[in-house]
Amino acid sequence: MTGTVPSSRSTATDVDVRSSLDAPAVGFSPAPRVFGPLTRQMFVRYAGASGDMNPMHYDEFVATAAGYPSVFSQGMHQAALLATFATDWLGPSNVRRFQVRFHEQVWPGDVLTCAGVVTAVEERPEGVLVTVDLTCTRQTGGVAVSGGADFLLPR
Amino acid sequence: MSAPMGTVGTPYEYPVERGKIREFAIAAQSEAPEYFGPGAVIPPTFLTTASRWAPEGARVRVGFEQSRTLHGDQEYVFHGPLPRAGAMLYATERLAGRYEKAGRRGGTMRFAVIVTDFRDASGALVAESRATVIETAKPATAPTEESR
Repeated sequence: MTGTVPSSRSTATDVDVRSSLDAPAVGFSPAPRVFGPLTRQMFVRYAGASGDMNPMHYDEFVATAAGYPSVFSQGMHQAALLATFATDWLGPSNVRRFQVRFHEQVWPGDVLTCAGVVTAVEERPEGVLVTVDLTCTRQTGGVAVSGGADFLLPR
Repeated sequence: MSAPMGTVGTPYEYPVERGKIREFAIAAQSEAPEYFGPGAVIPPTFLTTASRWAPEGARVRVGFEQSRTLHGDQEYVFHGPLPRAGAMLYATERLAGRYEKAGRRGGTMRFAVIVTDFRDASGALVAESRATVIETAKPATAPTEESR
């Protein structure tokens, strides 16, 4: 893959940026990516793109009638943002598994920080399998989505 | 109606479209060139768009009360190179698991695991979607988008 791996937030003490790009080491963590403040337009755009037309995510009247303070983001919207962070890091074509678990709700105006860390690196006949943990955290510190992914990096 | 274990939905065709990949990548705030060319690969969660192609009878109904149903966990597994724009996949939904846990404030939480298998024209398994849906023990305070 091309591009640079930001090293400012690396948790590894002796990570060489170049080698971490080619074969990330266990414990390596790239610079997080911040999304937001999130807008209702983003929720609408995701609704259209995904086909999930649940009005709870774009119709203020429906959401408030159901007792919510406002519309809120689709869980799968945050999952898609977390996936963008992961694929920008390890390559869109290399993903082989992507998993998320949904926790806190996400609201208009929220700022999400997506971060990840390498938890395993395994040599395979067809490449290097890199396993990462992923989190998407709200500005409150609350975790909106957690998960993990496998990427198969070609040699 | 509550589907028994092993229930399989009607298979359906799912065309992987370049324009849909582009639209999805923009909604995901990605600018990766891999999503924007004629041979674009799908983003990791893109297969969520498949269910919009599902005809009557293709979705497995687990019988949970909708107002108490949450989308708890979602996983996508790809068994080789990612599907690309122009591919035709064949999707089949199945009920792969059911279990229960005690709720934190009493009652019973019910879980169902719904797997969608995506195959190519030769029948080879290309990808799987694994959704865990939860029926909470009490009325949910946080319903999500995938109530079913």
